[in-house]
Amino acid sequence: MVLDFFDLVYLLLVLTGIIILVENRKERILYLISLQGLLLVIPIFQLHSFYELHTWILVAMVLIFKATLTPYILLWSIKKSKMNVHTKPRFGFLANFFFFIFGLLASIGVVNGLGELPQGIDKIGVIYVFLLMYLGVITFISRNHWIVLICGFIMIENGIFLLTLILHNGLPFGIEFGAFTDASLVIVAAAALQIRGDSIKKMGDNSLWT
Amino acid sequence: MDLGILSIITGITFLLVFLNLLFAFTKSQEKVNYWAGLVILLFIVVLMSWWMEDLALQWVLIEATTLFGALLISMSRNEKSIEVAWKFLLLNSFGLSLAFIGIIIVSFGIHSQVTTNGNEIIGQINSHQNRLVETGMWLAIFGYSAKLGLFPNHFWVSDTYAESPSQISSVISCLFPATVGIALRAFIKMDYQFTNPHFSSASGLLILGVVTMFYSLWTLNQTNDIRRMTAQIALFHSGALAIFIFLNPPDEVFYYTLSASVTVKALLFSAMGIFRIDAGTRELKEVKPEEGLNKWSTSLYIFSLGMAFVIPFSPFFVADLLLLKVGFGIEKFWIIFVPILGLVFFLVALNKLLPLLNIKSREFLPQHNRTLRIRMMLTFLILILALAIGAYGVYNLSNGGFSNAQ
Repeated sequence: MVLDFFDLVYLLLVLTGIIILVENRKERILYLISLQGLLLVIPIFQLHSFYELHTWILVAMVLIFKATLTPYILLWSIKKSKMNVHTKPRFGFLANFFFFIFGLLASIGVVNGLGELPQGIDKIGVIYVFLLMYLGVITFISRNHWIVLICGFIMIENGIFLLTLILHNGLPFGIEFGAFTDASLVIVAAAALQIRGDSIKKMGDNSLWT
Repeated sequence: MDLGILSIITGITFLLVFLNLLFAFTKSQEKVNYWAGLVILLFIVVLMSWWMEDLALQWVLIEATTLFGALLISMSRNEKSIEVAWKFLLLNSFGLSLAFIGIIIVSFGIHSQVTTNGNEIIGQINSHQNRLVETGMWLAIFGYSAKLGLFPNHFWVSDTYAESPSQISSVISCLFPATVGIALRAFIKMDYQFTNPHFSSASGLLILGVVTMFYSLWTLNQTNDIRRMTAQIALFHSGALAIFIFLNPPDEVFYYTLSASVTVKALLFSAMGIFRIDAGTRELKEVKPEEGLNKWSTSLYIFSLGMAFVIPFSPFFVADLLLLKVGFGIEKFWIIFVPILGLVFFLVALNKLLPLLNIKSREFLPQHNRTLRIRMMLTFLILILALAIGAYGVYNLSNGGFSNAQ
């Protein structure tokens, strides 16, 4: 296994995932999510030609949905609900570390069972992709605040996007667009629910029936 | 019975529930017209997903239903409903993410021609029996089972059905299990192509279904909340549907069972909504005998409960017979315990509800009269539709129909 430039990008994606898992400042987490979105652009060129229209459509979708729209919606929600975002930094739980080690070993095991990979793809890159998804799952389970929880979900989606890219060379445009839109709408729905919940708490419950 | 007829039956059922929502919504002060578009969109997306052969595209549409569903659950506009909608969104999105990873891995595992077309994958899977495909099927089935509401991801079901407006509970409970059933069927067919799996994912679905049925029975015994009781019935049927899917029945039987699920769930939640408003409380113990109950609303609810289990000519009664026929045909004689468990569930529920028939009858209270009459009329139409499907099933069965259900 030789670490090349693209593997380095996958490694950076995993490292941003680790910071998101343990970081406690919500604004910083959103910047990291945006950075992850930007980093996702690079692997597209590993598998798609620079001269293909599909490549640039994918780049545009990643930049719009993953790097811009998603963090913006969450940032807007933070401001809309006047959330306290500058809490003290706190390192994550020790349990997360052990879960991470378990995930690393499991990812190595799964990737070894994958067999032949598409040309130009290193096993180490795929291990990083599985780890990114796994980090998303841990964040989703271990963090309480809804913003961070949704960031865990975004990490899972980012990992799935990379896995699709690596194993399938991407999906047809319609499905890719649908998956991107769905992921964004999950975040919109989550933000809408939380803001609605805040408004109900402030204005009182006006339901007529229990 | 095929997918086309199922779509038509679902369309009619949806229309009746939708009219109920438009003209008899009482749960909160929300303007229903604003939400009506979202309900229609949910229905269209669900129906489109049924007809998709491409598993990835089908997944995209099913994921979209989660978003619409979450927003609709919050329609009650109270703190509890927001919590429930949040839980629904998280558990379903998480499950569906796993399902998508499974789809990607299965289609990669086929290798020779990477495709997400369900039929093409099923055609190739026989010659690609490897651990990767098996893992992908596991992930897909487990992921989708969360959307069906099976153990251990069942926690959203009773909360969602219990805290949403009854019309929204009707829509979700009749559309979602059918949708997931159709999505899961492709993976079960793949699993049956495997000659020697390490542990069959179809068997995994069976275990999840059985545990869910027992869990719902146990929870039913604990509660006297009319909404939660109805939610447990829906959960029980989700478990039973998982067992049905495990058996991999022929298309005709499969779509008949789904049409039973669609109509009877809509009926059950509509009848529950009427009874709940008429009783003025959701707790059975808080029903005041001296204030009386409308006998039509009480009888309709209890009759709907029977329709969900044992009443001859009810679609679920026929579905149970078909379950036995399919199960015995493949020498799975233990299947007899599924209708028996259903009977036990019915008796436990009936034991809680029967005392209501002793309460003196009265007219609907004047403040609810118009709303409840509209609801009664629409619910009776759903009942007629369900009875017609049941009668069709009995006629077909007694004349040698469903002959391929062996």
